[in-house]
Amino acid sequence: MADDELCYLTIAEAARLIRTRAIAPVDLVEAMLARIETHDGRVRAFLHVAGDQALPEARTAGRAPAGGEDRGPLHGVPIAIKDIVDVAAMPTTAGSRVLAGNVASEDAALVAALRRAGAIIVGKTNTHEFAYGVITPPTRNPWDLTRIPGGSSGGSAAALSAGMAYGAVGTDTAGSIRLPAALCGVVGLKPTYGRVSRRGIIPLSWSLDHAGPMARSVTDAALLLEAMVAGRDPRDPATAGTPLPNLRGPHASGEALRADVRGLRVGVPRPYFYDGLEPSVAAVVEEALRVLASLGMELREVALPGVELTFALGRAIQRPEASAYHRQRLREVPDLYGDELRGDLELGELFLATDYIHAQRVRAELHTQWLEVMDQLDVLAMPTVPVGAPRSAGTPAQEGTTSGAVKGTLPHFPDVPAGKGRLLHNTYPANLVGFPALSLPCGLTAEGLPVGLQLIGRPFDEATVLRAGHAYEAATAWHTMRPPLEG
Amino acid sequence: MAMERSDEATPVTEDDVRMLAQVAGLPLQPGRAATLARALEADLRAIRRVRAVDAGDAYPAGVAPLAEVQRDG
Repeated sequence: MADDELCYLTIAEAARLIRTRAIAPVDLVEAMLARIETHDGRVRAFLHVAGDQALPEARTAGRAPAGGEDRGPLHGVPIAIKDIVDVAAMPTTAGSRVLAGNVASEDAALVAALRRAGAIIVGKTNTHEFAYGVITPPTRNPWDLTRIPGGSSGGSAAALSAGMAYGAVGTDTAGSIRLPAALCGVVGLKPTYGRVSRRGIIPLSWSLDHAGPMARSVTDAALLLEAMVAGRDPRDPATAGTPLPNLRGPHASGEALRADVRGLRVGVPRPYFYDGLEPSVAAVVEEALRVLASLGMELREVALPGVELTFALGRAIQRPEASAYHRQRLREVPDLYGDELRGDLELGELFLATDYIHAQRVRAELHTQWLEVMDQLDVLAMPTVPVGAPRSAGTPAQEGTTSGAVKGTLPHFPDVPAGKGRLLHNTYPANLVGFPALSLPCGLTAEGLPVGLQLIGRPFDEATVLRAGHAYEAATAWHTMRPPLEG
Repeated sequence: MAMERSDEATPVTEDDVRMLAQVAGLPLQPGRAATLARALEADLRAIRRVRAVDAGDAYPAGVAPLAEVQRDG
């Protein structure tokens, strides 16, 4: 098998080849490390590459007995972890000079769960500083190195897109899994609020934060989600014990995802979610809707109540929650924060408690109203992002160091007039209501940049979201697209 | 008795920011108050809509985020 083919295997394929001893875990880790060596000087997805830990683990995994039952579903598969998530003996810097030199003493809960399933952690990926932004300096979009990967899980998305990991972990407060997944042409799932423990993850906004999988196929996202879900965690009180159905089926085949989708009720919320789309994004998503209909799904036009309040609620909640977390450090080491983040955190300290309370109460009402709408639907379908990846404002040297710390002038979007609000326009609502939301590739813009289709489901019904996404993926080839990195 | 002007009619000033920062115990860099005043005013333009929406029930759904989701669990 050619090296490139090896690097772009799905997790399901890689796990099957390991199980049959056609390849060894060390082959996969060596292929990842070689690929990172070749391409990451330009893409800059990784903050830390952990070959010294991953190679011995892979050799140990290769000595495990043959067969499938005693091995986890991710046995020997290299996974990348966003740099706000703790991995024992690896740096956790959150892309900030504030945490320079910080090394985690233990694994985050979801990392421990991934290891129990057999995963090998190949490194830490860049994030926007403390996950509070959408650019992720210094990471570049593998589809066009002059463009941003999105954020804040931009390093994870870029690593997957460039074939430098088989799966990855991201976090999502306003869209930080789905936005970079869409802009880099990969799959990202924000699970239901409370589905995955956040213990060992640096908070951005406690009532909006979610952790979830990123991958190159819907089946792989389902595999990772199953591995991450561990029920209630007393150290993350938001976690729920709701069981997750078996998604992967026997031998991680993904069989359970292939159940019939005919008759699934798909809401198409044109007001708000289809406003202001780049024309080629609109055309791509209309075609995706036609594919869903051709698979037997029933499309219905709907409107989501209160969605126009999204950014008002988001600001009133996210800003003070983030500022509360950073309050002490902002006084002790203010100059170590990047200018953009420091300004955001200062601003959050000036909000009134009453506005925060008003926003949480309206948010609870919004949640109730969305549940009523979803009583008549199985999923909602819309573009993940209204535009393709914007151009980056400056050179990597201007934007940050390898630790991701922002320096110099504030980043901006020269070709996106409404800035980051426009990028998060369609992703933020699902964080407010806590519903599961999947982004998967569905085409290319006129400029040849990936477009994401977002599917939002009912609380704790990731299975239906993934099943609808898998059916779309099986009927199209967009998830097999690769960026033009080799030249 | 005449009411004072509501905040809806009064843009945020640098003095407002200095006062809020003092209450929060937040040291401000020189020149920072003007920048923050503009940013806060922009956010408040949106947030005032939330104040207007949540003017109703004495005991609404509550402040615990996603309580219903958690009950489902």
